[in-house]
Amino acid sequence: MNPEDRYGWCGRILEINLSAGSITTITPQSNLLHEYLGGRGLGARFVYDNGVVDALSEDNILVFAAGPLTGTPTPASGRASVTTKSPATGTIFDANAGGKFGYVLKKAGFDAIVVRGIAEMPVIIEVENDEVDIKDGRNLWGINVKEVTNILKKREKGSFAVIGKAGERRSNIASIAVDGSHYFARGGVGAVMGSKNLKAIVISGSGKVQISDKDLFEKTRRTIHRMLVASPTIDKGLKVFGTPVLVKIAEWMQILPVGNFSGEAFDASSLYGSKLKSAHPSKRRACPACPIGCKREENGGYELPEYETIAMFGPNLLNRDLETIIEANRICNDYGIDTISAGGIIADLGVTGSDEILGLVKDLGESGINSKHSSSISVKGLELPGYDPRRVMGLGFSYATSNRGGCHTRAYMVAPEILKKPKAINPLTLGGKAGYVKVFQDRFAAVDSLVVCKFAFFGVSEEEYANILTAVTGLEFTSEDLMCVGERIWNLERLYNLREGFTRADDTLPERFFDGLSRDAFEDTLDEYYAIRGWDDGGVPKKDKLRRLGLLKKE
Amino acid sequence: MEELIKYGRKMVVSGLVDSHFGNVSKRVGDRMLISTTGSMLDELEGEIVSVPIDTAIPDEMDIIASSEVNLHRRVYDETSALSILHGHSRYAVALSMISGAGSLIVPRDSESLYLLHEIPVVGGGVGSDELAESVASALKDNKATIAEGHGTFARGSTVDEAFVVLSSVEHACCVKYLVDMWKNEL
Repeated sequence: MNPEDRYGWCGRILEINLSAGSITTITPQSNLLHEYLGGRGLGARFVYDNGVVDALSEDNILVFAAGPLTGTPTPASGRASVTTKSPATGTIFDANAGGKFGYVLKKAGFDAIVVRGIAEMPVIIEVENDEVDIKDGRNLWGINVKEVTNILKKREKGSFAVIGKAGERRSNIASIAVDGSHYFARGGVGAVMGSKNLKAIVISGSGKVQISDKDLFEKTRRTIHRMLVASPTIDKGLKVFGTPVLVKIAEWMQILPVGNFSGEAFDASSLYGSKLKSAHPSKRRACPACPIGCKREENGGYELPEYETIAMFGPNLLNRDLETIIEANRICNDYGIDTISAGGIIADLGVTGSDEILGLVKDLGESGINSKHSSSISVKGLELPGYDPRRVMGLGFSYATSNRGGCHTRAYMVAPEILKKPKAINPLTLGGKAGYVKVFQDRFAAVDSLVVCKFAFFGVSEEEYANILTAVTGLEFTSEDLMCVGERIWNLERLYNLREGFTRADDTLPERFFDGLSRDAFEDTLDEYYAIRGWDDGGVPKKDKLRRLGLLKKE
Repeated sequence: MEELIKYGRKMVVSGLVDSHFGNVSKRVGDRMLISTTGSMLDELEGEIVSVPIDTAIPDEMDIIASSEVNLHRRVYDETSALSILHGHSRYAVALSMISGAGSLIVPRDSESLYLLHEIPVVGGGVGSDELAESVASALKDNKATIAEGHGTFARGSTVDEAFVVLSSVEHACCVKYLVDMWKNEL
């Protein structure tokens, strides 16, 4: 470990080559940790440096990473990320999940695990502090998420990242489940794990993340906690209803994805968060160190659907039956498939009946690589989530410019355009959105690298997290420093995608949305966005920008 | 809804508030229409939501309603008001800070004295239960109250009436401030 990285970071990365059966521990250079922090940023650096590879080949890597705040009691820091080349999009791709995985990874003494190669037979990786083994996993192959997690829980302690049948069969909508109830959901990251014959990673650890300035940490932690619990979005929304609080609001704003994004109206009253809450009494569940507790779990341990799942299996399929959505969610999670993409693919097939929906979900879980439907409503090959971009235009613009395809979390414009936080902005215009989206993309690239939950930012800003990062690491970080880290990561991801052949033509939305959006206004906004980013007209970062971000030498 | 849009715009146009500084509501049975959080009072089209008055009924729309939605609830629950307008009017805010919480501002001009009699100044943090309780209590006996350092809450049986009260409070505070300054009584 480098002496200056002894606080916050572990200063150690575990590298496992499944082809060679080798296990090594590497000490990352300090500037790598300081410039990319952890999580998504660290993963982006590794995946970029891994070169041009086929997503399902042994050359692709999976980088599971925590951040410098993970493992401390920093509010909302109980998350982790996995970065790879996506078989769904062909882009660089990081997926982010709650659960204990990141927390325990740090307790085991590692900032990240880099998995390379392909095992000859199904295996599981077991990590207990410094003891790391690659074990025979053949007896777990062919078993879905809930059962395999229960088997592992009975014989092992710690946290579990597993794939279901969809991952084993390399479905490009396959997810990786964490502790049986959280998901690295999108982009087919589970297919990459399956392609490596890696059924599960089991981690346990007994170490402790060191904090440099405990007094400043405690003071800042209390401030963040107080601001989080005082936020109406959290206190009256996520704590009471979970993410399904959004259903009624999205219906009111007319932004639900209705009938495969046809733009129709839809009465979603049977699917409101309040209906789900009264019909299905549940326990509130939280990730480590989280005062929000947005997840809901029914008796029997099954998690209730999130907003995105309700939107994609409800209005998107013209389905008003909540029970069908709950069952579809259960099946998706058990097979380990992304509910957003599954809902998008089924909508593209024009299916609306309950039996047909559930039958197709099972088919998707059982099918292999070709489960994706080429004409689904997507950006860069990733199905759009549950917000119609015609009436929430900044969010739509963020889909188009996202480095991982049709995703709402890259800029998380849900906050200002729908929930009016930190400041309400008009969702019905593209005016001013180029700058807004750029700033939010950079901001959340840094947040994903800390790794902190985006929901925290309904109540606090990057300033508070810069303060607590300073307290934890002993290194001075300002909000501007975090924004600069975010911009560096965003540009590195862009360079990756350009190297893969993506161009300006890929920074767009499906044609159907231009019945409501002005094509000219969209292209003008894209020009403005590129200019604000310091990119040329084709969306290629200029040398000055790369030099300023410290990326030129790597190119 | 149209009334709230109309009077929200009038609050800005007439200089009672700057665009973001305030919120408006109207009672409709056991629910109320209220402006959304962070909305501009002169652009309220599409920015008014309906929520229940009973706090025992959690509603999803609460999270995008004005952050003072519970204060409005409390007033509707404890008084016969049918509309509440709230604005961060300059002279009202200044005079409330000079007078302090617990004081009564007595208008000097005859029109305001006739309409308002006196204006209680109350305390409590923005969005707090304490402020909601203080405002609701003050509005049982008065047409308006000023939250110290924050702004005026005016009640009416119609939105129009609440607007008249809001305007009168600012007029009264302006006149009183100028006269008191002239007489060195501040």
